Amino acid sequence: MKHGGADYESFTAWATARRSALMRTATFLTGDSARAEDLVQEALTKVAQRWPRLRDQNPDAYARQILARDNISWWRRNRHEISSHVPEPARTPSIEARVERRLVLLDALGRLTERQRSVLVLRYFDDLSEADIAEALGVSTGTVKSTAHLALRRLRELAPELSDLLPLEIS
Amino acid sequence: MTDRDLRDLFREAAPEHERPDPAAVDRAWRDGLRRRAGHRVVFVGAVAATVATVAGFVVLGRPSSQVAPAPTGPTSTPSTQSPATKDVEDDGPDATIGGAPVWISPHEGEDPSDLPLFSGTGLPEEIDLSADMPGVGELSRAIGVIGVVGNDGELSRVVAIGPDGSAYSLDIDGRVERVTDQGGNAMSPLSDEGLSPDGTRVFFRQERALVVYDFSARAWSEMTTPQWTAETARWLDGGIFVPTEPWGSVGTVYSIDGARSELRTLRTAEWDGGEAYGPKRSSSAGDVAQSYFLSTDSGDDRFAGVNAVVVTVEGRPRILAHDTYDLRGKMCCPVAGWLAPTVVAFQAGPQLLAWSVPHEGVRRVTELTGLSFGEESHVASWALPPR
Repeated sequence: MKHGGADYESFTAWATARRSALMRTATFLTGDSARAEDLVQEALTKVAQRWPRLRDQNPDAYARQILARDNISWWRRNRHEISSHVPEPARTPSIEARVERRLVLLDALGRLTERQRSVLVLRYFDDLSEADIAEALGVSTGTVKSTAHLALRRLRELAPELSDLLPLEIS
Repeated sequence: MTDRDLRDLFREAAPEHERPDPAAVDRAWRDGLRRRAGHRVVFVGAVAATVATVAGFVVLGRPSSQVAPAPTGPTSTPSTQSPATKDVEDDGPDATIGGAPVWISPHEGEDPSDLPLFSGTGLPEEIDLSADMPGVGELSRAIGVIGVVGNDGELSRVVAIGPDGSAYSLDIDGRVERVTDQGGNAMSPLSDEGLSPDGTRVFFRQERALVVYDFSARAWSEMTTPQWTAETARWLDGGIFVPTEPWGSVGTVYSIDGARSELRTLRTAEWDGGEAYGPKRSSSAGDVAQSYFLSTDSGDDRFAGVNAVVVTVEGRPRILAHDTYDLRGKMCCPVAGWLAPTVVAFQAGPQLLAWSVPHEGVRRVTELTGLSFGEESHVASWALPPR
């Protein structure tokens, strides 16, 4: 099957390399691995649609933008509680405490608003700057800062076990 | 504990997804191609329908553009045609949001530089920010101030646009320093609110201070402010409003001599269908224009997080949504002002565009050029004469 020559090759190389990372971000954002698959597939499709222009720019940023915005849009259309289907980390006696902390984090993240969770995931998992988070979410940097502040405060309330990990101010 | 600990915990908690899925990648490519092809069909149709309209505009515009005077500035030729406001076909709104009409422009795939020209503004078709230009010297008022910002956040040069469209260089050496926001992110000292409404002064944000250049007095001054909060400073009633809390609506108005005057509360946005940003500008008729990120609650998924210009006429919003990837960046498109009683100007990347409200189309006014691609960006603040 002819797919588009060099564009197809470069898109495939990019998507193959980035899909796993996008899946992790999407799973954090959605708390649901099946919906994360759908979200990533839609993001890859939209990147493919614009590949001739994105190829030499920043397809990663565009893909993250799609993940974050489509997730918020989906949630707005489907306002109901979602049970978390994030795979539970395997437990062994030596890492019991760390596993517990990870579960506490995942549970607390799932109880934040979509935007609060997006800001924290993009900031602390994807290591994006406030400016890049603002671009991904389509909001101002001021909104990112205030949302991060509220999200960390809420996380502290929801998961006091993690309070020693949570910075008082985003930096 | 630090940010790093939290980052480590996120990484530990991240689910494993190492399984490659070449079929999914292949399916994404095929679906993307299909959508691209489908979009192209729609877009070609739209171009065909638009050609006759644009051609009509060109014929109408040609006689007066032939009598354009000699260039008044170092960068290009201002056009002298009277602002035309009724030569683009009325096709009605493309959609509605909460009952408010929405027109879409530019569309995906549409290059703003291909739009017909809105002339007669005094602005040249192109403002070359890298050209040699005279100093602000005798310039007593500017209709625009444009700052060029490097990737390091440094404001490398500032260009003032005079009422005749000519460009002048404002020397900021030793006056304006690099500045960061509360989060340590580089921030342009010039904001889109920097130029005073009468065009006689421009302020630059500094750490714990605002530095003001007075064009008419040809003098610099400085006023001390609380740290960080001047990030969202703006002109208000002849002074500069500095919020008490960052992004807050309550704050202090400082007079130009730096003395505090009074506590004030900013009016809320005219419309609640999204997050307002950038300058709010009123026309002579009292219509209010401001830019928005449209809400994800709009009920129409196409417009979630899309940039738009919203003009409120007697409390009723009219919306121009920008449907292109290039115009999805944060605060891409602040309102610049009014070019005529029903024509609002807004930034769209390097372009200044004009929207004839409500539904007579979008045209280009001027384009900022001379930026080093990928290394420089710009911030523009406008004080277009009242219309």
